[in-house]
Amino acid sequence: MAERLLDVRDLSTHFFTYAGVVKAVNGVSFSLDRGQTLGIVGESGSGKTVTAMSIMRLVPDPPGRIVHGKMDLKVDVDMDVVRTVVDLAQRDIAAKADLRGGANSIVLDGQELVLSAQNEDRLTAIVKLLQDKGSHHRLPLQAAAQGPVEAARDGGVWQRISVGRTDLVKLTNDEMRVIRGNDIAMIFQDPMTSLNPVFKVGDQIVEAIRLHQGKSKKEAWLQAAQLLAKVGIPDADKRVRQYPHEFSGGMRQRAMIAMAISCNPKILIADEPTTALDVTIQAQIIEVVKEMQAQYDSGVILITHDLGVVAEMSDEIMVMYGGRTVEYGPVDEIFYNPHHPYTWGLLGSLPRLDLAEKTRLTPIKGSPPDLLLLGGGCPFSGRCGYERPECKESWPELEIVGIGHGVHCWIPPEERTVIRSSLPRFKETAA
Amino acid sequence: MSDAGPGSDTPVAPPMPDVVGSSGRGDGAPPLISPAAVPEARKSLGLWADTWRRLRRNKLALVGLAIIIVFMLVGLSQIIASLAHIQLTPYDPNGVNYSLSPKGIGVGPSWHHPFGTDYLGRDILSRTIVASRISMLVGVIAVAIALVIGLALGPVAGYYGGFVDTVIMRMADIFFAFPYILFVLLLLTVLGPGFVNVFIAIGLLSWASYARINRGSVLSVKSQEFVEAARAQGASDLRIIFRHVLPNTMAPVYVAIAMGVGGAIVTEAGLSFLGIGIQPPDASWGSMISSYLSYFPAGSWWMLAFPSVALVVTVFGFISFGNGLRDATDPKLKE
Repeated sequence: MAERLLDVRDLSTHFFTYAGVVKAVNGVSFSLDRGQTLGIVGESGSGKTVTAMSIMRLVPDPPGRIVHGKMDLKVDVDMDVVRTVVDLAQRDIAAKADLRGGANSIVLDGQELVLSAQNEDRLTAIVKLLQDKGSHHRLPLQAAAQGPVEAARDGGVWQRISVGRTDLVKLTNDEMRVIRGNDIAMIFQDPMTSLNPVFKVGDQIVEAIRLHQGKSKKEAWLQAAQLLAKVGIPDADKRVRQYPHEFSGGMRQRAMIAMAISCNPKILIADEPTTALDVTIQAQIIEVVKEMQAQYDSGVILITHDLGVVAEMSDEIMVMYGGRTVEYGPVDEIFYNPHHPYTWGLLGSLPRLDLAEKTRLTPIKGSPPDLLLLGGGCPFSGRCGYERPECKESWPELEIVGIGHGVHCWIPPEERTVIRSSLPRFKETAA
Repeated sequence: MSDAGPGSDTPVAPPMPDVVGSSGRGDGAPPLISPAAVPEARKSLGLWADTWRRLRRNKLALVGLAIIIVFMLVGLSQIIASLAHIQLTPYDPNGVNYSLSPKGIGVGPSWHHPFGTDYLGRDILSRTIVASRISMLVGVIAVAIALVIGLALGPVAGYYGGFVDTVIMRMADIFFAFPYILFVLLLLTVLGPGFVNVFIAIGLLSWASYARINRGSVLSVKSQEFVEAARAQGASDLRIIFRHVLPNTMAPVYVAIAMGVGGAIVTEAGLSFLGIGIQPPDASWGSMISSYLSYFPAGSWWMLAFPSVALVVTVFGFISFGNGLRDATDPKLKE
C-alpha cells in the first residue's frame, strides 16, 4: 500500500465577518497517498481554494480561522538532525534544532555543531530509541508529532527518518514555515501575477531553494537552471536570468512549477493551474505536472472546475458544494457511477462528443448558496430538484456506495439509481 | 515654501504624466531599434538599464537629471573643498571688501563679478556656489534619515494592518498635524542650532510622508499573488515585506525622494530665511535671500535674484527628474 502523506479529518474553516460567520469549509475529510492525485472539483465558492489554503495554513487570519479538524502530515526529518537531537536529549541538553531539509548542522545554544557521518549500528540504536519513546521532547516539530517512527533506507544509507505524523493545525507559524515550500508546495492560478515582476525568474527559484536547503548561491542558480530545463523551458541557462515579463503565460506557469518542485515537496497543491491559460498550453502544463509527479513521486491535490482536466489527471475526485464534500471516490466511479444530484448536474452540463449535435446541455438551475445563510441541512437543497423534507433539516451521514466511493445524500440509493437513469446524460449508461 | 516642504505628500498629482508618458513610452511610434536587434538587446536588460532606456526618451527628466548632476558636482566639490580648507570659488565667499560696495548696496553684475556683489562687497557668485554645499548636504542627509524611518515603518504598517497599522499611522498623522516650522523650531531648541541639527530636524519630520506613500502601495501589492506564492514557499513576514513587497512599491517612493530632496532644500532655505537654520557667516541660499531681501527696494535686484534662481532651478531639477523616474519605473507602463 502506498504511503499515506496527508490525512485531513473533519476540517472546518470559517470566516468571521461583520455580516456573520461564513462557513467556507465545513467538515471536509480526505486523504492523499504518495504518487496519487486528488482532484477537488466544484463551482466558485464551494470551498476548494479555502481547503487548499487551510492545508498551507495560509487562510488570512482575521477573519478566517480553522475552527475544527485535524490535518495529519507525514513528517520526516534529516537523519543528521534527529541523530544529534537524540544525542542531546539523552544528555538532557536543551537543543534548538534547525529542521530545514538538507541541514547538516544544528544550532545549539547559539553554537553551530557540524555533524560527522556515523556508523550504521549507532543509527539503528537511535531509531529504536525513538520508536521506544514515541515522540521526544526537544524537537519543535516533533512536539506535535505522534505515531510510530519509521526510517527509510535508500541504497543501504539512512536518508530520512520519518517520525510519524504531525497535525498541521497545531503547528506554530514558524514551524509551518518549515513545512511550506519544503513538504507542501503550491502552484497558483494566475501565472501572470504569481511571479514577482521586479526579480529575475531565477532569483525567485533560488530563493525557494535557499530558504529550505543550505545551498550556496552558485549551486542554487545552477539548480534553478536545471529545474527550468526540467519543466521544459528551452535555453534555460539564459532564461533563468530573465524577468517574468519576458516570459509567456505558459512559460511562467512552468517556472512556477519549477519553483514548487525545487525542494522536492511531498505534496503539490495546484490551485486551478490551467484556468488562466489557453487550451493548448493547458495540455502542456498538465503534462508537465504529471511528469513531475511521476519523477518525484509526490501527492498532488488538483483544484479545478474543469472536469476534463480532472478526468485526465486524477486518481480520486472530491466533489465540493457549499463548503461540504458531497461525493468522494475514484475517478471512474465519479464519472460512470455518480450518486449525488450535484455530480449529475456537473456531468450533465458538460458537452459530449458522442451525443447528437443538436442536444442541449443541461445547466444546474439557480446559483451557489450564500454561505452566510447556510443552515444545518444540505447546501444543495435549494437547487437539487429531488428534495425531501429532511434535506433542509440536517446533513446526511456518509454513505458508502462502492469501493472508496462515498456520498452524502438523503435520497435512498434505489431511488437515486432510478432518478439517474431517467436523466438524458445517463440514459445509455443505464440501458 | 511651507507648501513645498517634505511634509506635503502630493507628488503624485502634477499634470506631468500625460506629457511625459506619451513621449516616454512611444506606443505606436516606430520602434527605435530594428526588429532583428530586439531579442539580442532585450536579453541583457536589467531593471535599471530598462529604466534608463525609458528615461532617456523623456526630455524634461533629462534636463532635470542634468541640473541634478551639475548641482551634485558643484555641491560635492564644495564639500571636499571645505574639508580640505581650499577655496574653489572665484573669490573668497566671506571676503568683505567695502570698495566693492561704495553706497552700501553692492554693485551690479559686471565682468569681474558676474552676479554682482552684496552690501559688504562679497562676491555673490562665490557665495551662491558655496551655499550649494549646505543644500546638497541637507537634501541627502535629511532625506536619508526620513527614508530609513519611513521605509521601515510604512511597509510594516501596510503589511500587518490592524493594530500595528493604527499605531504607526496615527504617529505619522501626529507628525503631519503638528505645525511644521514650530516643530523644527522646537527640535532645534532642544538640539541647539548648527547645520547638522537642521538636517536631523528636517529628516525626523519628513519620515511620515514616505511611510504614508509606501504604506499605500504596500496595501495594493500585498494582496497580489506573488506575495501569496512567497508565503507558500515558507518565506518569513520580514522577508516578504522587505524583499518581495518593498521593491514593488518603490516607484512612488522614487518620486517622493526626488521631490523630498527638493523639498528639504526649500525647507532649509525657509529655516535659514527665518534665521533659525544656517548661521552666518556660512552662506546658504535661504540666508542669502533673507539678508538681501531688504536691499531689493533700493534697486539691488542681483543680490536677491541669483540665489533665488539657484534655489528654484535646483528644486525644479529634482522635481522634473522625479516625475520622469516615476514614469520610467512604473511596472504598469512596461510594454
